[in-house]
Amino acid sequence: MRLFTLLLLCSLIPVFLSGQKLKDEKFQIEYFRLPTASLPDSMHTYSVDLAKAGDNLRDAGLTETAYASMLKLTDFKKVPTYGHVQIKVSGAKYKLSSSKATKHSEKYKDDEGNEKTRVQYSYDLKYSVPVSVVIRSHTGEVLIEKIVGTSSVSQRVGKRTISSSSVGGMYKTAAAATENYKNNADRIKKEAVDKSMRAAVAAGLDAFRSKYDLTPQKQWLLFEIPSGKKAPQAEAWLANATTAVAVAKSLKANQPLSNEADRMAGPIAFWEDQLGKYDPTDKKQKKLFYAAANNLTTAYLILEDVENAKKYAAKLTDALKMKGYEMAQLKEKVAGLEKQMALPGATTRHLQLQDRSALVPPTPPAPTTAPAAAAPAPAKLMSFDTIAAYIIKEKDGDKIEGTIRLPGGRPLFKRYRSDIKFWDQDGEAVSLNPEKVHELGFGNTKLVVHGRPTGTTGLKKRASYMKIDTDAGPIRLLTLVPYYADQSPVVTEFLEIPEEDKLMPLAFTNARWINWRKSFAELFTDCPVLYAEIRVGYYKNNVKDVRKALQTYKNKPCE
Amino acid sequence: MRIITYPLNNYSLMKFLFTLCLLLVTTLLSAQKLDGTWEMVARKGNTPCAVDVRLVFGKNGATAQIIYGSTNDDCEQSSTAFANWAIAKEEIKRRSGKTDKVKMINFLNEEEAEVQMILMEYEGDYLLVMAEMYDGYDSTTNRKVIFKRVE
Repeated sequence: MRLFTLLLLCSLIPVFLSGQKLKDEKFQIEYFRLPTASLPDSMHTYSVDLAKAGDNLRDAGLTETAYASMLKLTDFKKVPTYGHVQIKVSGAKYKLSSSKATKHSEKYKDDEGNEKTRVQYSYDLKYSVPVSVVIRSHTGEVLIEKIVGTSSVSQRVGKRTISSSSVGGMYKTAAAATENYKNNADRIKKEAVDKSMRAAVAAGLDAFRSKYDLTPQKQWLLFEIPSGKKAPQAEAWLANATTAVAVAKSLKANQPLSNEADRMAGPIAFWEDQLGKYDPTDKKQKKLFYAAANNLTTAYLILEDVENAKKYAAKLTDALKMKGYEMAQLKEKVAGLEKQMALPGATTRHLQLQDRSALVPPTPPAPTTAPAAAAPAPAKLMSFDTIAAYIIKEKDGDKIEGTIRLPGGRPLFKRYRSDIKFWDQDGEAVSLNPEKVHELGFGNTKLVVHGRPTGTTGLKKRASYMKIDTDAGPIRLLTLVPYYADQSPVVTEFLEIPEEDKLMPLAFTNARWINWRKSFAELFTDCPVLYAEIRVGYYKNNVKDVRKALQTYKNKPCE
Repeated sequence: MRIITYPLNNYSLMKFLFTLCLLLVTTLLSAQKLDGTWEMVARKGNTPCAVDVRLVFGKNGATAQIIYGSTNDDCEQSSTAFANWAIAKEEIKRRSGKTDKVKMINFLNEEEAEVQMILMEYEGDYLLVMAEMYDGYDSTTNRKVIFKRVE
């Protein structure tokens, strides 16, 4: 027991020896954060326009009023419409990019050691609510522009609140998780839109204020007072701190400094006297030295005397080996004051706000009358495009390069047949009659010639141009391009199947049309996935789906 | 106007019963046709194990199994067994708010459907269902999946 008491005393001795105890007297001061730029005095009216976000806000169960009141400036007069400064908020549309029940499987062993799987479901959302705040001058110049909420937010729907963590929000079935989401969907939307709106309003307003407006600020400061029975001149320290705190508290942001320096003279003189008395290198005295230096720095900070505040802040060095964080904070506040005082035209952070009530907002520009309807364009003469082309006269024949002349913007052949011309590289005209051509190509267009039935009986065939719509290797989708004046076919789309000599019309006249799934799938037996997709009805008997099937065959893997 | 009514004679009754039987047999047959083993048909892409799925339907709705990774040696093999399976008509709500009746394949344990698939198409040896599938990132999506009868 004796040994314990001795040890306790030994451990406490350094505490007693370390010197004076200090008490903090904390208080707040008020001031304006000064703007880095300024607008002319006559341009200090502003208006707020949330019309472009209004519908989206109402859709989420919110109103414009709350956000309009948040958009408040200090040194500007608010006008209903068309101020010198115009704050426009738009967007706020809740965009749900993903919304699904997510399965979570967890393996575990039951009492008998059998491995089992526990399946739970959560409901996860991904959404974004982009909101843009644009602050313009009445002349149209963009002063500030902020956009928030563009990146998507992932959230898990919990039982009562949205939680981004994985705690809670787990359900036994996907249906239960989905049901919970449905019950909470409106609230989630409302909260998300509100959060984004608040963030956008805060971001836009803060950016504008730091640049053009006075922003009311409050700052915590403290005076140090030696305390305890052995504290030297404890009463005088306390009395001076109390006087200084009263001076600081009497300061208002919108009230210029007047006799504060005189009222603070007593405490300053006392602390300067104390500072001279104590040695910062002495263990017993350094706290008193620190207290005096801190109080002098703080006093000059309140009086906005940058030079003196800096002078005494310099005495708060790391060598004191105490209250490092507080010292760093005080120095930061002095640096902040110095930065503000260095702004052009800045003399103080305490200003009498100007009376802006008489300011008149600018006159909105008169609505411009709609321009007279443009006169109808004059009828154009037919123009021609001449582009590189080739023809192949017969199957497995040589390619003849040349140029083709096409009537611009008009369909191929038929009534423009005589206007379309082909010349080979020697300038010789080559006939484009399909009876004499096997293949014709230009740009991205490729035409092949096939014999098509003609007349009412369908027994007689004549060569016709077919445009290659989709080329999927051996199978091609062709569209008939009428060449002859009397060629007006009902069926224009055909499938060209290499194993079969004749074309397969994509119409009910085709026997395959009836048992489509099976007969169309038979063309793709070498591609199991596409075959299965056709069998279960992914591709119906119409041109659009046939084209899609061919593109799948051409571009996607078969396994 | 005269309404002519005919008494239900033996011939009409027989015709009616015959039609009823035919309908019943057809329904039973179509339900039984799912018996056997079905293999998923899908593009393997970068996730071959995700599409390595087999369904085994026992006869008359007794026992069912979903087997994963059985055809590819590189995939981890696992399976889930069910006491029963059944096809039931259930109402589902579409996005538009409309309610539709669809056929569901229910994999049951103790009369509770643990896995459900919407039976969309049944074409001979091919089956199209809408089922909740892993997308490979620890989440699931409803996807149309094709199965081919293999046994």
